[in-house]
This record gives sequence, structure tokens and C-alpha cells, in this order.
Amino acid sequence: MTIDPTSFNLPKAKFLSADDLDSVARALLSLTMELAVTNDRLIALEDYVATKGGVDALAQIAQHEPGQAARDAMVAQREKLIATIIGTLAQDDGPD
Amino acid sequence: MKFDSPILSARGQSTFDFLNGVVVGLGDVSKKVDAAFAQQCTVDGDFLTDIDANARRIEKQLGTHRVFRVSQLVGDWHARNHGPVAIDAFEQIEPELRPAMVAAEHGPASLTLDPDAVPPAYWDKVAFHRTGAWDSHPDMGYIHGELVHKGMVAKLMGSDILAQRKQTAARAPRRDYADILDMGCSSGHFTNALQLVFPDARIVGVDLSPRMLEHAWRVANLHGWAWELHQADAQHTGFADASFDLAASYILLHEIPAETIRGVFAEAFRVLRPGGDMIMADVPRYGDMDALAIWKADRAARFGGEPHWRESAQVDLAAVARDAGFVEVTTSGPFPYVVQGHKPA
Repeated sequence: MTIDPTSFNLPKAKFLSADDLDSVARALLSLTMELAVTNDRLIALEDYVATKGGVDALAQIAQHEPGQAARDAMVAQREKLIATIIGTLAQDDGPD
Repeated sequence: MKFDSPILSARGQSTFDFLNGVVVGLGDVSKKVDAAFAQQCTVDGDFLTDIDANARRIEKQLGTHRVFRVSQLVGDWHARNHGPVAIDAFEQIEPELRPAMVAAEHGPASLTLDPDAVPPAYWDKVAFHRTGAWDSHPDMGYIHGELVHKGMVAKLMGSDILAQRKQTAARAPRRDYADILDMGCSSGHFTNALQLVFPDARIVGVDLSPRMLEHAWRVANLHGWAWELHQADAQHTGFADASFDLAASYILLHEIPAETIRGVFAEAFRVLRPGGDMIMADVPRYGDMDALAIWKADRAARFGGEPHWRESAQVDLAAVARDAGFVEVTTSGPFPYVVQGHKPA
């Protein structure tokens, strides 16, 4: 064994170049927009449930297992978000 | 909460789904990297004569493509984050899960740890798969065996990891083995397959990691299986000569250097009775792969916490088996790459 195997724990690497900075910023803005939308909707939902749903409604939600339609919606939205972020980051303009 | 296939918290499940989704979402980008490779990359002579030089050349050529840079960045982000995400998901359900884990400590299986064990340098403090070192969390066996392996690896590989292992175990030539040794049994995925294929055999497993063995022990107890699990180096198991009929391993060999592989085969030969069989399965051999496949596997190893993959994937396992004394040695691949041999009667 001629290598230090622990050097594989956190390999030193720099993948992106300065040319990628604009794409990274665009992806970050897209992500921030999605996060802001999600936050707003979550706060509104929690407010609605706390107001109209009864004393332990929020606790019940934490235990709730979403049904198939909700799970399908989660998958669709997650795939779309990931595709948006990776697509923005990797937008291929051909070789530099 | 059930011990196996637990229900993660909503947050834990979402983080798992996101990490898995990121890998799937890289699919198109990876195809573009492959296309750029085919269009642009050259390999001087045999790729294996100088893997580092060829990899540097390829990565310099591909480095001009944003798709390559981004695919590497995202892959590295996944490698850095999947371990902490799995630990976090475990800790969120741990209070509800703990009673099932404690209950699984009672049953017919036995676990013998070695408080004086000295971990070998090739293994100690190595964050295999970059999940974290095997023993780096008090419940790493559960985290790695139950959550990472079943919740991430199996889903991303699109495979039934138990079925894959059962198919391999079933390739052993007999069904009447009395004593079977699983060498490098880890958290017990292959031990499970051996148990199902050879239900009447005595099953013994050895591994260096107490945390992985603890998970295997609980799995065995949960199913009512009397596995005998020992913390021991697969090169030096401590068992008497000629005490097993089948010596087996699955996906151990790429985690150990070439010299250790030779030690494991020699130990398998020693502990087998005359007439016994050996079957070991591991990753594809570099010698059977084209330049693109080698480069991708080697780079994945470099950034995926696999320090011994390159060396191991170039070992001629059939030759090692013959050198250890096995006869009727056969191999098949590409994945799993299976080497089998027989100890002369």
C-alpha cells in the first residue's frame, strides 16, 4: 500500500472556473426564489391550520403520512426544482 | 417503529429524496460528458499503463466543458453531504427506533467483539464511501446498513441488493454446506443472502468494524438466525484449520489493498475443509473495461472514498485464488465479478 487511504476522505479539488460564476449566481437566485415561495406557503398553511384546524392540528401534520397524490406532487416538484438548478448551472455553451 | 425499513421523519425523507433526485437529475449532464469524451478525448496507449497521466489528460480536455465541471461539483457535493444527511435522518427517528434496536439485541445470534483489536492502517480512520469511517458514529451500522445502503445505494443502482447477493450465493456448487464463513460481512447484507440460500448451515461472519457487526447481529436476532459474528481481520480469523465448507465474500475486495486480498484468499484456503468451496464477488476488473469506463470508475473511486479500488480492480483474482491453492478456479463478470474455487479433497 503506497497511498495514504485517509487522503480519500476529503479529496482536494476545485471543479468550477471563474467562467462558471454567472451560472452559479443564476442557480442560486432560482433556488432562493423557490425557497421564498415555499416559506411563504408554509407560513400561510401553518397559520391556517393553527387558526382553523384545532389545538393539535400542527402536531398531527408532523405525524401525517402523505397520500399517493401528495407524494406524486412532491416527486414532480422536486424533479422540476433539481432540473432547474442543475440545468442552470450546467447550461452548456460548448467548450470554453 | 419497525427495525427494518423504518419510516423517516418528513424532513429526513425529503433530504433523502432530494439527494437521490440530484443524482438522477445529473443523468442528462452525464450523457453530455460522455459525448464530449467520445468527441474529444484521446488515450495514449494502454490506459492502465499510466492511469494518472491518462486521467489528467482527459480531465484537462473535458475541463473546457461546463457540463463536466458541474457534474463533478454536484457529485462531490453529494459525496460530502450524504453521510451527514443520513446521520441527521437517523437521529430524528432514534428515540422511536431505539426500543426496536434494543429488542433486536436478544435472540439466537452471538456477537464477539475484540477489545484488543488493532485496526490495520488501510482501514483505520478511512471514510469509506465518504459516508464516514465505519465506526465514526455509535450507530453507524444502522446508518450505513439500513439507511444509506437501502435508502440511497439500492435506489440509485435500481437494484434489489438482496436478490443480487442471493443470486451470487446460489452459484456455490453445493447446497449441503454445514459451516459457512462470510469474510468481511459488514452489516450483514450478504450474510442474509447466505442464510436464505443455505438455511440449514451454521453461518459465521467476521469483520473489522464493531458497529457494522452490531447491525448484522440485530438483523440476525430479528429473524431468529443464529449467526456467529466475530470482530476479526478476514486475513487472520483465528478459526481452526479446516473448519468450514464454504468461504465467501461479497463486495469486500475493493475495500482492501492487493496484499490484503492475497491474505484473505490464503485464509479462506486455510479454514476450508478439503473439498470445500470458495466464492468471492466484487467490482468489475479494469482489464475488462474500455478507457471511458475505467476513467469513470477510477474518478468515482477517487472522489467517492474508495482508496483501494484502483489497486484492487487490477488484481488478477483467478491467479490469486490459484496461488492460494484453489483448483477448478473460474471467473465471471462484469458485475458482480465472481471468482470461485475448490480446495482439493
